[in-house]
Formats: sequence, C-alpha cells, structure tokens
Amino acid sequence: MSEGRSLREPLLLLAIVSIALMRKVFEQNLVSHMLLELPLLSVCGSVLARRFVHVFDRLGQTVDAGGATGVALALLIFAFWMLPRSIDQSLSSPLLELGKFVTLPIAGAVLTLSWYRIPRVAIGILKCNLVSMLLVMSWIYTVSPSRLCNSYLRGDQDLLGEIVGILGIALGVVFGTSVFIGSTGAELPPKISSKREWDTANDNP
Amino acid sequence: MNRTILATCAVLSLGSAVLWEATNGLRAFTTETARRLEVLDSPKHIPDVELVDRTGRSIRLSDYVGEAVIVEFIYTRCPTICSSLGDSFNRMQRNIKPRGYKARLLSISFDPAHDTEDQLSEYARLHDADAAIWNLARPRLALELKSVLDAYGVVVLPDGAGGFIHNAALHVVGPNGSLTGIYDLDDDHAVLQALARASR
Amino acid sequence: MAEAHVTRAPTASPCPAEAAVKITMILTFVVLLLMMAFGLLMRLNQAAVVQLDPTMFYRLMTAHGIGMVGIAGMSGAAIMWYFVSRHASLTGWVFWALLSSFLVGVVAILASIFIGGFAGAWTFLFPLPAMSGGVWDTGAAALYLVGVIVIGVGFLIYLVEIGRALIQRYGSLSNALGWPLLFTGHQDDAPPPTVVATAVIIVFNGIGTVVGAAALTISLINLYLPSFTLDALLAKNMIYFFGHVFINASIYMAVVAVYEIIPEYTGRPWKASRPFIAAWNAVMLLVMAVYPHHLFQDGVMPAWAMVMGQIVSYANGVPLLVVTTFSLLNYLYRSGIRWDLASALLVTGVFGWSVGSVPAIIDGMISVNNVMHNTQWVPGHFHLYLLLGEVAITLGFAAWLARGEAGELLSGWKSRGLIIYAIGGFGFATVFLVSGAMSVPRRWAAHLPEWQFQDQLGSIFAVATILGVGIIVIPMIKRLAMTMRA
Ligand code: HEM
Repeated sequence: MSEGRSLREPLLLLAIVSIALMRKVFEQNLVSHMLLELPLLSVCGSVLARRFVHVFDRLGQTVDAGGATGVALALLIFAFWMLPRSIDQSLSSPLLELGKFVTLPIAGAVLTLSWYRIPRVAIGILKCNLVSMLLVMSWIYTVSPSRLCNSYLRGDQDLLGEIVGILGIALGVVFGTSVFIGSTGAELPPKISSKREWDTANDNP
Repeated sequence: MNRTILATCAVLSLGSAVLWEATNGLRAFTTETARRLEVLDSPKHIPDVELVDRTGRSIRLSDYVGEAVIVEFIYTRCPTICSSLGDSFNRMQRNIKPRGYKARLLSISFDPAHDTEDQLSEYARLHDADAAIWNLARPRLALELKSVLDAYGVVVLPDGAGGFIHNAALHVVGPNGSLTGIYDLDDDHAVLQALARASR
Repeated sequence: MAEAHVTRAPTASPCPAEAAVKITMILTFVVLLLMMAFGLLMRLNQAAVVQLDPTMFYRLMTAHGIGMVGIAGMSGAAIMWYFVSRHASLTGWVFWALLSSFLVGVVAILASIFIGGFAGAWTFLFPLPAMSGGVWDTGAAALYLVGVIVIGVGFLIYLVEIGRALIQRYGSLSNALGWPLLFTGHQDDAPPPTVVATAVIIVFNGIGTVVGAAALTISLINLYLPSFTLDALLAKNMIYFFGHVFINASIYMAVVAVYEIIPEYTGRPWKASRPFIAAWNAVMLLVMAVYPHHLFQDGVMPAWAMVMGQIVSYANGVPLLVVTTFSLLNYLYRSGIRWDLASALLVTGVFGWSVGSVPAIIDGMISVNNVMHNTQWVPGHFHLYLLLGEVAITLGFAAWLARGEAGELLSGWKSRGLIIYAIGGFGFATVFLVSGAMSVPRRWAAHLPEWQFQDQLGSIFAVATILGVGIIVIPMIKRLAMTMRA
C-alpha cells in the first residue's frame, strides 16, 4: 500500500509528460484538444495535489482563506485557455505550448488545495456558473459565422459546441437532482470541514 | 484574512493584466481578429519573396513601386471561398480604374504543386481578371510559401477531402511594402477607403 | 406542543443581517415612491396633461419597469430571508452581498437610462438593445445589461445560500418541499409552510435566473459581435421565461410573511397541510410553464406550446391562491384578530393578489389574448396584483417589523392612508383594465383624444395611490431607522 502511494506522484508527473509527448495526437483536432488534453492536464495536477493538502494547509489559511485566492487563480487560468486565440497560439508558439503544460496542472492543483476552504455557497455558485458558461460556450461555438480557431476545421468547432452543450445540460441535471436527493433523515451527514477530518475520511473508507 | 485579500487582489490584477494583453484589451478573442487589429495598430513588414506569375515571369512585391497591392490567398480548385475571393477582386478592379487609385491586385496560390501557370490563367479567365491590374502568382519553393503565409498570418489546413481550409481575407500592402490592413472579402467599403488613403 | 413548532422552529435565532433587511425596506419605500412618480408622469403624458418627449417617455417606462420589478424582487427576497432564518441557519454576508450587488446594478441601470439614453423597455427583448435607431449607443445598452447581470448574480448567490441552508437543515430539497408528506401522508414529516414555500421558490427562481443570465450574456455578446445571433423566438422565450418567473417569485416570496405573521395575530399556527404542499409543488412546475401566454400572438409558436400555455394559465396560481385565501379566511374566522396596520395590509395583500389573478386567467384564454395582449389590459392585470398584492404585503411586513412594543390599533392617519391607497390602487388598475377592454394599446407614449379621459381618471387614482403609500410609509421610515440604531 505504501509503495503504491509513493509511486503515485511520479506516475502522475509521468502522465503529464506523456500527454506532452503525445500532444500531436491530442491536438490533431479541436475536440480532443479542448475536451481531453486540457481537462486531463488539470486532473493530473489535481490528483497530484491531493497528497499535499495538509502541507499547504497552514499557508492556505493565511493567504487563501475561504479558497478565494485559489479559486481566482484557477478561474483565470481556465479563462485564458478558453480563448480560441490561446488554443491557436499554443500550436504555433512553443513558449505558449509549454505554458499550457505548466499552468493547467497548476490550476487543477490549486483548486484542489483550496477546495476544503471554499464555503458551500461559493461551491453552489461555481456549479451554476460552470453550467451556464458551458451553455454559453456551446452557443458561441455553434453560432459563430466564422471559424474561431484558424488551426481547426469548422466541423470540429460545431462538434465541440454540441458536445459542450450536452455536457452543460448533463451537468445541470446532475447538480439539479443532487439537491433533491439527500439523506432522508433531517440532518446532513456530518459536514467535513477541517483537513484532518478529510484525511481520516479518505484514509479509512 | 488581510493576507488573503492581498493575495487574491494580486492574483486578480495579474490575471486581468494577462487576459487584457492576451485579448488586445478585450478587443480580439480569436487569432483572426487579433491579426487584423495588430496590422492596423502597427503595419507589418512583409518579406520580399520571389514569386512566379501566370506567364512564368518572376515577380516580387517590390516591383510595385509607389502602388498599394491587395493580396489574397487562393487555391484554384477551391469550390467555395476562393471563388468569392475572385468575385471580390473582380469588384475591386472595376472600382480601382475609375477612381484612379494607385493600386494593383495579386492572387497568390498556396497550392503551387497543383496551381501551374495554366491553372492560374484559367482562374483568371473565369473571374475576368484584367491583366493590367490583377496578377496571379505562386511561390517557387515550399519554404518560401511558408514564410509568406506566416508573414501574413494565413493558416492553411488540409480539409481531409483533398482540398484546403484557410482563413480568407483581403490584405492591403501599402506602397512601402508593409501590410497595413486586413479586411473581410465582402467589406468593399473598408478596402476602398484603405486604397484611397494609400493613393493620397 | 408539536403545533407550536410548526410556525416557530426550535432553532429560532435572530435573523442574520437584520440591519440589511431593514435597509432594504427603507430602500423599497424610496424606490417605490420614485417609480410611482415616474408612472404618474407617464400616465399624465398619455392624458396629455404634461408633454414629455417620446424618448423621455420610453426612458421613464424602462426605468419604471425595471425599477418596480427589481424592488419587488428585492423586497420579496428580504422578507423570505427574514423568515427562513427562523428555520435554518443562514450566513449573514450573503444578504449584504445581494443588497450591494443590487445597489451597484441600480446605479448602472439608472446611468444607462438617464445618461446613456437606453430606452429598450425593461424586458431588453433581443435584439432590441442593439437596434436603437440612434436613440442610444451600444455602450448604454451594454451598461444596462451589465447592471441587470450584476443584480442577477446577487440573486443567484442568495438563492444558492438559502438552498444550502435548507439542505443542511432538512437533508434534501425533497424533504424541504414536503414530498415525504405528499407521498406518504405522515403529518410528522411536514416542514413549516415557510420552508415549503421557500424551497419551491428557490427551485423555480434559480432556474429562471440562470436562463435570464444566459439571455443577458448572449444579448451582451450580440451587442458587440452582431454576427453572433440567437434565434429571436428562442431569445424571446428565454427572456419571458425569466421575466415571468422572476416577477411571480417576488409575490410568492412576499406571501411567506403572511404565513409567519398572521399566526401571531390569530394565535393559530399556520400548518402545512397536504393540499397546501400539493398546491405549492404545483406552482413550482406550473409557474415555469405559464409564460407562453405572453407569446400567443407569435403565430410561429408550436401549437402544443400554446395549448399548454392556455391550460396552465387557468391552473397556475389558482390552487395556491385558493389554499392560501381559504386558509387565511379560516384562520381569521372568529379569531378575534387585532387589526393594526400590519395585519390589515397583509390581509389586503392576499385579497389584492387573488383579485389581480382573475384578469390574468381571462387574458390566458387564447381568443381573448389575441385581442388584448398588447392592450392596457395587461398592465391592468399586473398592476392589480402587484400594487395591491405584492406591495401591500411588503408594506405589511415592514409595518410589522417597525411595530412598537404595544402595536397600535388601526386608526387615524394610518387607516386613512390605507383606505386612500387601496381605493387609489384599485381604481388605477381598474382604469387600465377598462382601457384594455376598449383596445387601448399598451406602451404608447401618446394617446388618441378619445382615450384621454380614462388616462386623466387613471392619473387621479395614481395621485391617490402615491398619497396613500406616502402616508403609510413615511412614519415607518423613522421607526425602522430608530430600531436599527437601538
Ligand atoms: C402609482 C403607482 C403606479 C403608476 C402610476 C404606474 C404607471 C404605469 C404606467 C403608466 C405604465 C405604462 C402603461 C402602458 O404600457 O401604457 C406602467 C407600466 C408598468 N408598471 Fe407601473 N405604475 C405604478 C405602480 C407599479 C408597481 C407597484 C409595479 C410593480 C411592482 C409596476 C410595474 C410596472 C411594469 C412592470 C410595467 C411595464 C413596463 C413595460 O411595459 O415595459 N407599476 N406603469
């Protein structure tokens, strides 16, 4: 078990590097670029960070109360990579491409480190925002009279728009139903608020 | 708490600055709008590459002394957008003469392997090109083709069906050989205004 | 014992951000009076008593529409916040955030209208904001849309926080909605009426707000990138969905005050019975399906939507109204209720709401709608239930909030103010209805001479309304400010 744990981080770093090495495959079309490569990078960063939640907890409590700093940083990074222009440029500029492989894992990591400090309301807002942004993005990609990325075909763009739209609706339904289903009792299961509780909850499932 | 506010503000201002830069001040979200804005803000030097025209003669941009040149990029087999480009050049040539603008038109093929002199001539005939104003040419070498496309910011992709997808526009090169404006192919008004400015 | 818990949950605690609730009430009075003055100006212009520039008329109409809808939503939100906090623990800063975003939004909207000249009506019907014909520029329309978006974000935070608190307290929204009682009939599972109502409201208003935000964002992008368009009919559907849901929510939020305050007067707790819960849950579904009655004139709408709209128009609020009104009568009957300003206003509000719904049901009939929907019948209907329903309940809540230790009985200026306001409001709305039945169009700055008699009559009633509301409200401002300092 402990071996598996110590292997996890190197494996994840390897995953990031192999995504980087296989980037030509991911970046062949717009859909896999935006919906596979970018999220995978963030997920790697996020999983990587899980182990370090307690390491950064002290620091987080002073500079990241309520998760404000982390959420801001992550959202800004995501916003940057949502610009069609950044996607184009990452293909033509090696510097930007490198930036992508660095910043997206950071965004995922920072979000994970902050997550336990974010107030519940803010998480609700983030969910609503995610759904509406996906829908608006879907609209933009499907109605745009011209190609948004010079490096990709129009058909890819339409497909991306449609997939993102479906994703938005699906997430909306999932988030929506989750508030209707809860424990049937009158109280919520104890809310996990501190990192220690979170660790124990994770270690002894 | 105070440190958090400081940190958040720092992240927000840095991030906003980056986003502001990355979108030319919230004006350009796509590469296409960015490249158009950038040449408007600061005209861009274009390498003076040697091309071969439809009569087999070698030409360069620098041959057009004291004249503006409107450049478009085509491949002659193109079933769609390139024939619209041809149409808009045709409208241009009918406007240039009567208005007395000092301007010429140049169609550059990015498919030199296929677009031989004959193909270019056929395209010229189809679109009624007036040889006195409108010339058609192709780069000699693949490397030169790339440097020309890069200089203009034109991206050409194979469409998977033997043709190409490319960002189509009218590129106005001023008399001093630098790219001063990029316009939609149906935006005659803006192009003619740019020519009027260049002819002054 | 169980009964006592129905209205006052054991967790009763002082309302967080109570000061913000009181500030909201004072703000409500000010905005209400100002917007009523704008309304009077419009009416006087239609009556040809004053001569406004048509662009000024439409600016006033835009400001009046968004101002009234906004303040109705805001005051409803304050009322619901105040009472939900009796049943679930809320985070105080959220209401302050809503209030701040509201103020910021209002400044942006006022600037866009009175400095930028935006006059595209509060419904910002796509793509009108982009097509001013030179009356306003893109910046003004954008500022307006941004202002509304800011307020929308404030509301979203508010709704999510209430949802969070309810889920924390009741386990899930289904429990808060009373589904266990609905399906099993175990009375023990009944949440308090306020909780049921609140859960219903946050569901439909949350969906409405998200749809509205999407419509606003799309309109905003369209302003700057005109080639990014949205199917105009889809946009109209989205906007009317949002608008209808939002304004309905404002009155439903306010009704919570009736459930919580009336029992203090009658000594009989308001219980969430099975029909009560069924009625509220029906509202949740129906309020979202009713908006197509605004679209009957769009011949392009599919037939099924029209039929649905018609059926739902009949059904929408009716069960709830019946349940609420009859329960109210039942609770009042021989209760020996003490009539003071608060209780009188609350009861007036419930009846104003009931009466105001009748013209809407008539309007919902397609044949009538084709003739009436662009007439003043429509402002007649919504002024009736907003002016005499929503506003009365809000004033009642404020009176209760500002009440002295020994609540004074209704007499003197207070009762005069109430009567002047009730007669004025009823008369004002009735004149709109009469004009509507005579096919006087709505949203016309200038009226034909043969309509102007009604316009003048309406203006007189409007003056009475303003006077009555003023008499009621001005002493309350002092009271509220005093309790805040205490
Ligand atoms: C003394 C009180 C009031 C007066 C004199 C007044 C007057 C008016 C007038 C003259 C119009 C335009 C009618 C037309 O289309 O021809 C109007 C529209 C409207 N009023 Fe009022 N009103 C009053 C109170 C209220 C209240 C309390 C509300 C809501 C809480 C409200 C909400 C609206 C709305 C939403 C519109 C529609 C605007 C549009 O068509 O875009 N009004 N009012």
